Amino acid sequence: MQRRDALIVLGGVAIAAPAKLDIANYKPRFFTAAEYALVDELTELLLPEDGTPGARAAGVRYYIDTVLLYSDASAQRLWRDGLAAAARDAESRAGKPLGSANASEKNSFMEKWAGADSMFFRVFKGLTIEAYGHSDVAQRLHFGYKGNHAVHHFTGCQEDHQA
Amino acid sequence: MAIQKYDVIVVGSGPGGGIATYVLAKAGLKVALVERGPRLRAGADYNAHADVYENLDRRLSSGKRGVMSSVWSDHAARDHFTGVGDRPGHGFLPALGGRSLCWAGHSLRFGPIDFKRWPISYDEVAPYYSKSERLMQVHGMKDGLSNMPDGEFEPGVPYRCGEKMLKVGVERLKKQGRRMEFVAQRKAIPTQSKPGGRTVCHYCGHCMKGCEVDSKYTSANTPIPLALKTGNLTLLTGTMMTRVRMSKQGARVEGIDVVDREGVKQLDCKALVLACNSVETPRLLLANGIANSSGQVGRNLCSHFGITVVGLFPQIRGRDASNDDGTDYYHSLLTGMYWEQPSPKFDGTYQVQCASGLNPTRLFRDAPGWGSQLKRNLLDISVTHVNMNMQGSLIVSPRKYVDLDPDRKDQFGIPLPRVHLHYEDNDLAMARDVLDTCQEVILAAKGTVYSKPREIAPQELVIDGNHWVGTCRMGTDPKTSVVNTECRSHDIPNLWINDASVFGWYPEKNPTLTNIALSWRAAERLTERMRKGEV
Repeated sequence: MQRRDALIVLGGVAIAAPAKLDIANYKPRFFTAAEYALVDELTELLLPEDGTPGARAAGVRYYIDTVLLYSDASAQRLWRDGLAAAARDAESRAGKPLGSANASEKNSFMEKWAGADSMFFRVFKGLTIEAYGHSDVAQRLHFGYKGNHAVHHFTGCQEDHQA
Repeated sequence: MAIQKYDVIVVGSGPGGGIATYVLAKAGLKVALVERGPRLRAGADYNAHADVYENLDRRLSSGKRGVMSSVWSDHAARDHFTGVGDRPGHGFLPALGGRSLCWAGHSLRFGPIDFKRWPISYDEVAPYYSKSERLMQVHGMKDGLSNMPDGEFEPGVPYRCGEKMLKVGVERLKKQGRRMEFVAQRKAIPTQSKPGGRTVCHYCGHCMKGCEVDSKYTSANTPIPLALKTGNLTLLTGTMMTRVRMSKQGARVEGIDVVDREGVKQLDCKALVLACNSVETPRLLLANGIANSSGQVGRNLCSHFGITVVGLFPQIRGRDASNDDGTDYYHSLLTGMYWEQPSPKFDGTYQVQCASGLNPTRLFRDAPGWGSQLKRNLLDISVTHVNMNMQGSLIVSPRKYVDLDPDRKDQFGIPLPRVHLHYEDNDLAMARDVLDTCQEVILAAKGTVYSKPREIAPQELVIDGNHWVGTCRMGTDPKTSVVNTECRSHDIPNLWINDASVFGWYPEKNPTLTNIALSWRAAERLTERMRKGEV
């Protein structure tokens, strides 16, 4: 989809509408292509497609790239260094880059990486969860959330829970 | 340019300033309302419903903070004060309506026991609570509590499932002899339509991000438009008061200097009402060197502070959690622990606002696990959690106060305020009690504790930078107080203070309803005195 291909006419004046977000064709602006591919892998391992959408379908990699583009230098450095360390860690465990590993090798790496619970892993996990939670796709299809709009009544708890 | 003359100038358009403006203009006085910020437009200047991903780049590239549009994140003041000590906040929203634009609407009457430590009684304030609740359209349930009296309520909003479980826990503890109450929140948000009333709530849960349909009460959507209708109000937004001009002997206020987009102007008045909030009002009094023979301006600073405990109730797993939004997060309240019988371990009181509900933007970044297990946990915690957030009154002491920063000034050359906060033993003892009580309630209802502070220490306590009070304390003795029981300055006969600076002893309850009731009462007194020629 080309940018600026939609026009709105208001009061006789044509205004360019903001281009609709196209995550499928988005090119990263902060991450290198290799880093972006690694972020895509790692976030999908953390929150996989498993009957409900995972991080990839939710567009998490776009969110993280955009947030970091506008973050301060120390946050950006933390991510660059953290991803490089994760890439080295994955390659030494699997004997190959993470992108070339099979599903079992990838999951095995994530299990160890999550278990080590480094400072960067916690930062990575936090931002991935944040990106996922703000995604319309995840909200509707994983969380089953139908809020953020107007309803006439709030009925509250209607069930008899045993305590 | 000719000096503009008014009967009353009101400075600050938050909850106190808004109601004062309405009462004075309705009484026939010529009023100018001076507000340093702009009038904001719902939907255009803030829009919490907007899609986060679609707007992410536009927001962040323009320097906005946070990923969701809210009136607070998009318009709050920044770098406007100096904090000293234990991380004090100073919430300040320079816009028409002030922080009534972003408040949650919690409207709780102080009770007769609270007012025993004030120079006025509950009975004197009660009629103003009633009038305020009707104008604000406060909803709530009638609970019959001794020290949080019922008001003039529209129909209340029910608990969510998690909060119902907390009530079960509280009822079990009460049967064992514990003093506590669990009740629904009371908020200035209409739940039924009435002639001349505001739009009924549509339960989108974005109250604190800015109500786009003007259902929640704000100064900007209720008292100020009513005041404008009288024809007696001159509304001056984008206008900053820079100086209070005193008479030659310094005995009376003659008027104020302001700066707006055209430059410096002078406004004269018979009476001045300051309602700039409990940090800005003392700041301006100190900067002008007035109204402080008692030495108490900026002193007796108090606020609410707290910790948060999160529990989980597996019993409510599998419920319909598709729309828990309601009237924003906190629908209920745990209170009444120490009204009649104070705690032997600390002075003061606390309440715990309680919440629950699924909202994917309320993040659980520490949810355990990875992969499918993490996804399940994120959903499960969202569905089954309760959030218990302490609101306890700080112990008032010489270690908590507002003064002027000697080194930093704002763009008008006025020294910035400095807020000093140091938690003390009493504050820690109160927080320990809250931690114990919250855990007991959760466990009594057979829930589990998901998260709590690592320890009770100053670094784990969180101040509410929007609940400051007390810095121009009300009292009968001019040596120990700043204003009298009518909120009139002891020192300056035509100066009134109509914000929460005037508060005396501060209980656990949110300040705004009492701020509005006291300001209403003070504005009526001002009007009477002006009519009698006593101003």
